[in-house]
Amino acid sequence: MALSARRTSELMEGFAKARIAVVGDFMADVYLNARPARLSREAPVMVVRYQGERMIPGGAANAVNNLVALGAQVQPIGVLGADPAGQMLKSFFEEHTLGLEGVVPQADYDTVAKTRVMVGAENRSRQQVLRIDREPERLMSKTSRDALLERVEALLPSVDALVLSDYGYGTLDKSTSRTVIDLAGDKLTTGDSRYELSKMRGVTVAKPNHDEAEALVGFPVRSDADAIRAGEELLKSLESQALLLTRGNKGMMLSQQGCDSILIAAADSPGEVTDVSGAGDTVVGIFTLALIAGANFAEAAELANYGAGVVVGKLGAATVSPAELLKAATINYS
Amino acid sequence: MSELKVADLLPDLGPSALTVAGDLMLDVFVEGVVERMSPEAPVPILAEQTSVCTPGGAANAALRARDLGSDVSLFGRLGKDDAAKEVLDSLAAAAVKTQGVYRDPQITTTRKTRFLSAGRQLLRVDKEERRPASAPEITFYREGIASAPVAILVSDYGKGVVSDELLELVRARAGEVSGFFVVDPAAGIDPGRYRGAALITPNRRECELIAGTQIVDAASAKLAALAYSGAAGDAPVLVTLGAEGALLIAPGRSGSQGHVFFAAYRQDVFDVTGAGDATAAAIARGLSGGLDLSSSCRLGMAAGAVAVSRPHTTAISLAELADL
Repeated sequence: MALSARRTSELMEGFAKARIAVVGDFMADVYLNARPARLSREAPVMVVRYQGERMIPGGAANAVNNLVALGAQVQPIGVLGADPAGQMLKSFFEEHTLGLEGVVPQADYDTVAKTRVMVGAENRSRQQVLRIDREPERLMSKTSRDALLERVEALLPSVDALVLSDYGYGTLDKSTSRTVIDLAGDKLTTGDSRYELSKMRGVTVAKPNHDEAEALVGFPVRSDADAIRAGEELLKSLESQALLLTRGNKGMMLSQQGCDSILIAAADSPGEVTDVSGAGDTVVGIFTLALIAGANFAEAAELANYGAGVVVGKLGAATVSPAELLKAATINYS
Repeated sequence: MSELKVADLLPDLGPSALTVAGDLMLDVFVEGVVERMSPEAPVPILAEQTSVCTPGGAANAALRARDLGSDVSLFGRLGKDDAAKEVLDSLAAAAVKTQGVYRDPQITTTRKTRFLSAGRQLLRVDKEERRPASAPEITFYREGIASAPVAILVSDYGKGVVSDELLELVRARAGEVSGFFVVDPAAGIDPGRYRGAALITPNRRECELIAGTQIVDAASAKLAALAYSGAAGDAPVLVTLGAEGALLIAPGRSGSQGHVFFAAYRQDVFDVTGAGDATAAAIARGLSGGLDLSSSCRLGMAAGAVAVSRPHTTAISLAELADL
């Protein structure tokens, strides 16, 4: 395709200089590791012995994590509760020396956490036995929402782009999305929303996946022609400059104002396709960073496609390093 | 004797000051609904709705004795973590004296988390650290127990607080005038270390493990209880048998009948968590209030019955026991 090795390196050099804010639902993916102990005497269930837990940033925090891994300067903007999940996410931001100016603490907010209980004996692989989801019962307060918007406004001048990462947990509700996009003005904005992209009218670029696009246009997207038609319709209704549709193993499709849509075949994956969770965040990250670095939409989409190939070969919501991205791009040229 | 009603015992029940010593822990109950299966693995997703924390182990026994009117001084250890704070806050709210609680920042407070849906457990995750009491910890208990109430309940969960040294301190203190100690034992621990106890309250499994026989009927229960008692230096033993009641044996006691069988109260069993703590606490409450061993066990059986009839480890009262 169009992107040469030299152009790839050139674009990627710009990643480290890119300043980018991510606003959305921060979530914690927690893996609780335990050893099997015995059966309970209280009920016919397992008793497992806690060994430890690790947190992987999820939702908008996964978008943050992906951008950090690519070397960008990232500013997270969102709400964190005073609960363990909130603490873990805060520590994660601090460990990566990300500014906390955009983080709005709300003591009674339930930070979204998805805990997988992974059980395995010594030297054996662990198996998931239960997942516990904690979703916000108490939502963002009016005070937090006002604080969030203030922070968006204050931080906007110091960033090159804004990523809106909506996982449907209320941070970016309809009116907040509207206000954030209006505040951003001409600044590059990337919109990613689980099934509610329509509330992000006016984002510079939108990134729906196949299922989200289908739900938005209201007709089945089976063929390439369907995808092109869906992309054109969405681009028009969202009033965006470009739309990148991720299509699973069918690759991607880029729609742009005033140009023909471009179909991009899925890039070779270094491993087998293991896990697609969180791959959208990788795509959003690379696509946005490439645009900041001066790529046109087609170049940015191509690079994002290489990154997607890498990340789906990893387990869980994962990230891609610049070295991995460069290698993947090189392999795919040959 | 076993027809005696709890209500008939209460007029004889005097005031009580009790020392409770043992393994402190936090019981966490995470409840939610299961409506879908995970897309990542063939496991249910529990959508968490509530999370309730209550003190467990010896701390639960202390609260139940407090419910029944004892003035309780608690001994045990906690870390300096969130779980420890939860335990201490609940104890303070119930006015349990916690000056005897040893705080060690190195220790992870034992926490048992039960995940439930529609009242049924799905999984239990235990976070714990078994470790013997350190020398400074023993010294701390020695100083505290020397002036604590002489009526003592030892709640041993095998996590390390109830060491041989602690039991020596307990025996010495209980040797004072009108002193005694009752032990709610840990499973698989040589009961010889509890010698001198006024009563030991193993459950069926704890008794079977020591006796090396299975309890299948009244006769085998008596034999197992006698074996347990023999291993504990002929201390009286109350074997609790769940829905089948309990058997009290008091070998070698002059004027004693040898054994008393207590039928279980007919209760709808809701949650057996903490029932053993309630039973032992009520027995210690009875003995310290001047009831005899058999009457105290009757009180204990009633407390256990009320405890299993409700969720988690909730409060009980003398009035409720009298209603049974």
